Order: sequence, then C-alpha cells, then structure tokens
Amino acid sequence: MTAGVSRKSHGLRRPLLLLLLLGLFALVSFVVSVGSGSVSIALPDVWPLMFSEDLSPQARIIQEIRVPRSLAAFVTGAMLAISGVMMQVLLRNPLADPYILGISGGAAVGALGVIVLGMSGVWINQAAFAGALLSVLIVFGLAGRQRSWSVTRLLLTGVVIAAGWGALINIMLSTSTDQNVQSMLFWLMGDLSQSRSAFWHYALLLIVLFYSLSQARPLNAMARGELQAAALGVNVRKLRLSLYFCAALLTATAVTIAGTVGFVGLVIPHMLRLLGARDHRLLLPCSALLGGSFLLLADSLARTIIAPQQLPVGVLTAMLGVPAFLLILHRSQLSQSGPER
Amino acid sequence: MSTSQKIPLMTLNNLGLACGGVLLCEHLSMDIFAGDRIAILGPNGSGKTTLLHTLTGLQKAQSGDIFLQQKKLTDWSNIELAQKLGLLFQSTQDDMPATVMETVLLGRLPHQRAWQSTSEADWAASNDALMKMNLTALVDREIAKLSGGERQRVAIASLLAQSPLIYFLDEPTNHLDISFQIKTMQIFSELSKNKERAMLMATHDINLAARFCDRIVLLGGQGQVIVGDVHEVLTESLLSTAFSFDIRRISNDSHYWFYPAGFDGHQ
Repeated sequence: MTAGVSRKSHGLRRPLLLLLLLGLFALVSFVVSVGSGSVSIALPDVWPLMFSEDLSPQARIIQEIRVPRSLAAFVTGAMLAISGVMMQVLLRNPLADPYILGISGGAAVGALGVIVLGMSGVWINQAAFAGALLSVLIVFGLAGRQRSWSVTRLLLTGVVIAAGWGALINIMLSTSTDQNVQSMLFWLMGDLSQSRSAFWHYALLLIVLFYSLSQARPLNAMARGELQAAALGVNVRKLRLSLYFCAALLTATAVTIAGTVGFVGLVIPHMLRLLGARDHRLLLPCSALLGGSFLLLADSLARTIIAPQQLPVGVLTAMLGVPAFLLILHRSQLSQSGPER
Repeated sequence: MSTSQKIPLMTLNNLGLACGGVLLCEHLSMDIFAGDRIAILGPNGSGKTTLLHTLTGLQKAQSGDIFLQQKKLTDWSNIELAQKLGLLFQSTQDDMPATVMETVLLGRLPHQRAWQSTSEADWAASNDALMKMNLTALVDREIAKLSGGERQRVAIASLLAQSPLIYFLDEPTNHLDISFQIKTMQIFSELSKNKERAMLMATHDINLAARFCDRIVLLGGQGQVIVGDVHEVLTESLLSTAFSFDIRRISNDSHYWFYPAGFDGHQ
C-alpha cells in the first residue's frame, strides 16, 4: 500500500516484545519464589529440584510446599490484575479495583464468620466464596432494579454495600479472642501461607483470559464511553454483564485462595497502561503475567524479610507497589510533558 | 438529481420521538436517499440529538418505524448497523488515556473481527481520515493533551475511518475554527454527493445548513416538525416561529444569510 502509511497504533513499537519480556519475568519470578524461604536454596538448584525423583528434604520442601504456594501466588495475582483491568474499563474509573463493588467485603464477612465459629481450612474458603457471590448478587440486584443502570449507580451501590460489610467485619474483629483476631487480620491483609491452587483455578483464568481477549477491541471502544461503543456496533449490555460476571468470578476465586490481597488489581493495570500497553489485546495478557509475577515476588519477600516469621503478602504488595507505581507515574509525566498547549 | 426511481437508504415512517416523557416530534415521515444532505434545526431540547440517536438505533422510537434499505432497523445486527450508520457525538469522553491513532483506528471496529490483526484496509482508511483532518503530525499524541478543536477533528477522523453509508453528525462544527468548519462540511458534502452516501446533521448554524444542505428538518420543540427543501423551510417566518426569536435574512448577488434581529444592534 502507500509508502507513507503509519502503523503505530500503540504507544509501544514492539508489543510482542513486552509480552515476551513479561513471560520471562514471570518464569524468573517463579524460580526466585520457589528458591526463597526460611530454608534458603541456591537459585541454580531450584529448577532441578523441582523435578527431581529422589525425595531429599530440600526436594520435598520445594515440591510439596513451595511450588504449590508459588502456583497459588501466580494465579491469584493474575486473576486480580485481569479483574482490575475489567473493572477499570467497565466503570471508566481509574480508581476502580477488583474489590470496588464490595466483593472483598462479602468474602471477608464469610471467612471471618467461619473463623468466629471456630472452623477453619476448607470452610473458610467456601464461606469466602459464598460471601463474595452474595455481595455481587446484592449489588447487581439493587443497582439493576431500573432497566438502565448507570455506572454511577453501580459504583455508589458497591461502595455503600462495602461499607456495610466493613461494619460487620469490625464487629467481628472487636468481639473476637486474640488468637482469632490474628488469623482474621492475616486473612484480611491477604496471606498465601495456607494457599493451594487447584487445576480449575488455572482453567478458569485461561477461559476468562481467552474470552476477554476475544472482546479486546470492543473493550477498547468501551474505554471511549458506552454510547460510543454502541454506535460502533458493540452489544454493550451483553458485554458489560458478561465481563462483570467474569471479573466477579475471578475476584471471588482469588479472594478464596489468598484472602483480600490489595493493590495488585489497582496498580498492575495502571503500570502497564503507563508503559504504553493500553490496547486490551495487549493489556489483558500482560496484566496476567505481571500481576502473577508481582505477587510471586511480594510473597518471596513476605517469607524472607523477617524469617523465620512470615508477613502477610498484602503488606508487601503495598510496600513494593507504592514506590514502583509512583516511579512509573513520575517518569511518564516527564516524558509526556513535552510540547504543552 | 432525480431520486424518484432510486431506492431510499433509509425511510422514516410516521416516527414519533419522546425523551423523559416529553413529546419531541410526531408523524415524521421522510426518505433519505444516497446523495442527500440534510440538516436538522431546532431550538435547545427540541430533539435533534434524540432523532440522531433513534435513527442510529441507540434509542427506541416512541412510535412509528425506521427502515434501513427496506429492512426494519431492529432486524439488523449491531455490527451491520455500525457498518452502515455512523454517528459523530456531540461530545467525546476522553477520561481513559489513548493516542490519536488508537482513537481513529477504533472507527474501524465494525469492519474488524476478533482474533484478526488490523488489516491493510483498516490502516489505509485510518491514514486517509487522518490526512483529511490534518492530523498526521499528531498521530502519537495523547488525546488528553489536545485542544477542544483538535479532539473534534480526531472524532471526525474516526467517523471517516468508519466509512458508513449514512453520516449522522451531531453539531459537527463544535469547537472547530472557521476553516475546519468549512473543510469538514466540504468533506461530508463531497462524500454524500460523489460516493452514494448521505449525511444528516444536527446544527445550530443556520447559514452552514443553508450552504451545504439540500433539505431541512425543522423541529419546533413542542411536537411539530417541518420537512422540506432548503428554500421552503429556511424562511424568516418559519425560523422565527421555531426559535421564538426574530430572525431576518439578508442577501447579496449569490448568497444569503440569516441573522438574529430581535435586539438592538451592538450592545
């Protein structure tokens, strides 16, 4: 075609390179995560030990404790980041995160309620999942009573419901025994020490990623407003419902695995957008990779920083995420403040 | 141009519009043919935007039917509609970051499929549109860093890239300087006359409508609507009634202009 045709649709010149780099980064993060802990294992040994047949204590630690935990960390981070991307574009609000519609509050009330009753383990997960879904149903039931629910209405309903859950959480925290409060706080901050991922977690992640990628261009249009998207042939109602459902499902699952890990779903999508990956065809898979890697690294630090004691991973996501995000924000402002008008 | 033999692109049959329970217009019937350049005039809140949104399928009509190429509007799929009908909005939402190129390429959405990379035709149409709106130097710029007029040009370029059969323009000259106002009107006028398309624009600029349109839809604001050729509808009396303001006409040898006369000179 014409010689002068411009083909730069992204702020990025090589979108696939970014994807590749993030893939490598995820692998490295995984190995680092498996290698770190109270028993330190040299990085070059990690890979062979992961697949070794003999069951030396080191191999057992890696295969039975560290790898499952790292797999859980990665899938949780990836789910939260994708959910964050969806919420931000659907609500067209940069402050949106996976928890904005009260999903985390509902899950927390479920989980904490079970802790109060003295049950643990599997019950916590199931109660958290039930609480998350209940919260979604309440928010959509209330916000969707009128035929055309607006974004503002949905946001306000979500925020108010979240505040309600917050009150219940505080009641349980202030009336529980010290030991219960300790495990409640770990759950609320997000903690991977008891986390195990299952095959279906990864299957769910891939299915949602695949579906949302098939809707990536319509999502790009949604970022320009729902009416604009509708004028370009997007079935807004259907897309919005299916994506809210996907995001809620991912968030509920992530919360079930690791408690309410904050910051990943808010900050990872923004970091990637600031780096130039705004096209959802690129942003969605990149978010999954970077979100997963980020949680892997945060969890590695959570296990080692005051070893043998462990910190809840949610503390580390904020401690790592805040400076990293501010740095990128600052640098992108510098590079964009060229010719102002 | 003889239109009697041709099949209309769009037919409005006894259309009634309402917004928020207020009746905006009733019994609106007209055919839109290829080559038509139609202006929608009327006071604030008379239903110009509602009419455009209804004709593009974004909103349901209160009563009556709309046919696109002799098939009911509601029987077309969303994608098919977006391939044939393009709408320039009165204002754009720019709160998510995007570059000029990304925004213009979005206009190609109805022509693209999932899992398919951007085609030669998409690039060509987008670049052509950027050229027409003098935006080639700004392709990598952030929308948020543009002036109001430049954003309007980006929105117009996006619609040009979409390349529909009928262009629905909601105040297309908003924010544009006088040269781009004329240039924009020339582009759409040209496309309608020479490429077998049509344009329907809502505007407050009576003189622009007089210069670039052949037919006028004059909305009265209380349900009444007048449809006719430019010289039938653009008269002092009809305009003054519709806008409840004294509007006069002056002319020189070749052109005429309307101006508001309901107040005393320079104030």
